[in-house]
Amino acid sequence: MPNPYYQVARTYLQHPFSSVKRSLLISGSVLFFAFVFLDNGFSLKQDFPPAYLFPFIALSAYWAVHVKRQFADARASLTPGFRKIHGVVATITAIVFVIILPGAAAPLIHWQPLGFVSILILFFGIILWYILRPGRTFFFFMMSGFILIQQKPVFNAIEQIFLGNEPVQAFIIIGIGVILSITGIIRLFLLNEEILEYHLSFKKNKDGRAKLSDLQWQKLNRSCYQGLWRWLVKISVVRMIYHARNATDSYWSRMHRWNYSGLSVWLAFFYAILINLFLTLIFYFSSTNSPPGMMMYVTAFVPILIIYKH
Amino acid sequence: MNGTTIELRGIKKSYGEKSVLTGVDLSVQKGSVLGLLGTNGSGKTTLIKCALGLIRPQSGEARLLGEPAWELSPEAKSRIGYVPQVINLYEWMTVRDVIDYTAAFYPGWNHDLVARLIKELDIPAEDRIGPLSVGQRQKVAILLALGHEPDLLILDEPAASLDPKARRQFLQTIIELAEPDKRTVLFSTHITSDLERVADRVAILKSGVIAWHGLLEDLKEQTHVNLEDTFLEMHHA
Repeated sequence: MPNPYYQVARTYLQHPFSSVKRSLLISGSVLFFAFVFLDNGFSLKQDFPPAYLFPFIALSAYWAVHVKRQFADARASLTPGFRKIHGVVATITAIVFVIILPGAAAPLIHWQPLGFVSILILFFGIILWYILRPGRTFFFFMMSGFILIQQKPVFNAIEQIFLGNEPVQAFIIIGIGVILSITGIIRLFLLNEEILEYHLSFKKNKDGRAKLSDLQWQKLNRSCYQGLWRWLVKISVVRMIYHARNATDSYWSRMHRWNYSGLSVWLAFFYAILINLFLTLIFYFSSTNSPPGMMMYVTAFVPILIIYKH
Repeated sequence: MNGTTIELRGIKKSYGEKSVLTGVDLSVQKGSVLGLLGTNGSGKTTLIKCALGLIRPQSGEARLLGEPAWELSPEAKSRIGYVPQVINLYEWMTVRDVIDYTAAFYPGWNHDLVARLIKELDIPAEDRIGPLSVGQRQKVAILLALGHEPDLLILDEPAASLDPKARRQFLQTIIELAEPDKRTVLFSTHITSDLERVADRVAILKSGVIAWHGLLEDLKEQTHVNLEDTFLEMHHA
């Protein structure tokens, strides 16, 4: 009999490496960040230090999406041992993604593991709750905060925590992050159809069906098909619009509506990138940021985009 | 027949202001093959989900294999096979990967049976789930529900997406599996010919309640017309 823990653990690697294209992109991103962290010249640390957070934020987002998909399923309630085995593997993976890997990486860039891990635990908790209850307002505030901490004056203040100069603040942040994470994880592991997070936080009609007016669909179509990224999103958008239009109360329909919400996040992410690029250019021309730093900054979004797209 | 496998008493369920089940009473005896017949939107899926403990009724009691459906033990879960109406499988996995993943949770997984069904149902075991057609996914889901040889098999519109050959094969498999006094099968459908082929009992769901429940033969004798006409008459009444 194959080991169920091994089978569940495999799923975390099967998805990112399930095609040659995806494997190359993920491998390239991993190599890129490995190079950045092992670079003794610390060019990125001088140019754009918030980029060191990106790979771990991407891992947190991937973890939350992957685990929600596992638990928002009838099999979670009907398969013997499902919640226990998936819960154990998910917890271990979360500890590796959010504590062990960043804790080991922090000394490579001369930051204190405590400070670095504290911020990442907080991010993990916020991302987890966002994946549990996706909503545009939540997303707006989350991205605003994310963009804010990338700006130098704000980041310089946070860097004091990374440098180990503010241990009390680090512990307070850990406390908040742990509370958010544990409550989110418990909610995630207990998901069933009677819990709101199993479904979408989409507006619904009285009969529970997704509520989108024709005008909203037209707006969606326009926003999807216009602009620079048309060729990137066309296939996903057509498929998801089709399924969302034909939404019913069935589980699969809810999955598609959930995917549709994910698409909204993804599209919003492009807006966020444009804003980021704009701010970066301003900082680039008004400070000592160098072109390689800016390029690294832009490239750092690639793994996050891949994860949101898939 | 001995013992009750599924026991539903006064099940009520509504979504917002829309009442779907308004007081369902239903007993399914061990070893029987019960066809749950109802029109689209009549609440068949909701009833099945209440019976399985996937959703909680507002009132009433659902018991499965002698246990409250909402609090099934791992032992009871290992005796249940379920094929949902719409299949959700990890698209990046191959069929073989999904089988290995599912088999890992069941100590009594019958690899020989699964190998036989792969062949009989013509399932492309080495292909990824993503590009498979709806019908092929349905076959995979049926395979996964049968692999651990459950005592209770619940299928929600199982044959709707299958082609005629696969449908006949699938119904034949149900007949083979439903050994008298041993395995219980509950399946929902709106296709009366499927039901006539395999079911020995029928429950007709109408307006949120079970309008008729009994032996298929009795229904035919009472009405003296074919099942499809009876079904249509009941829903137009």
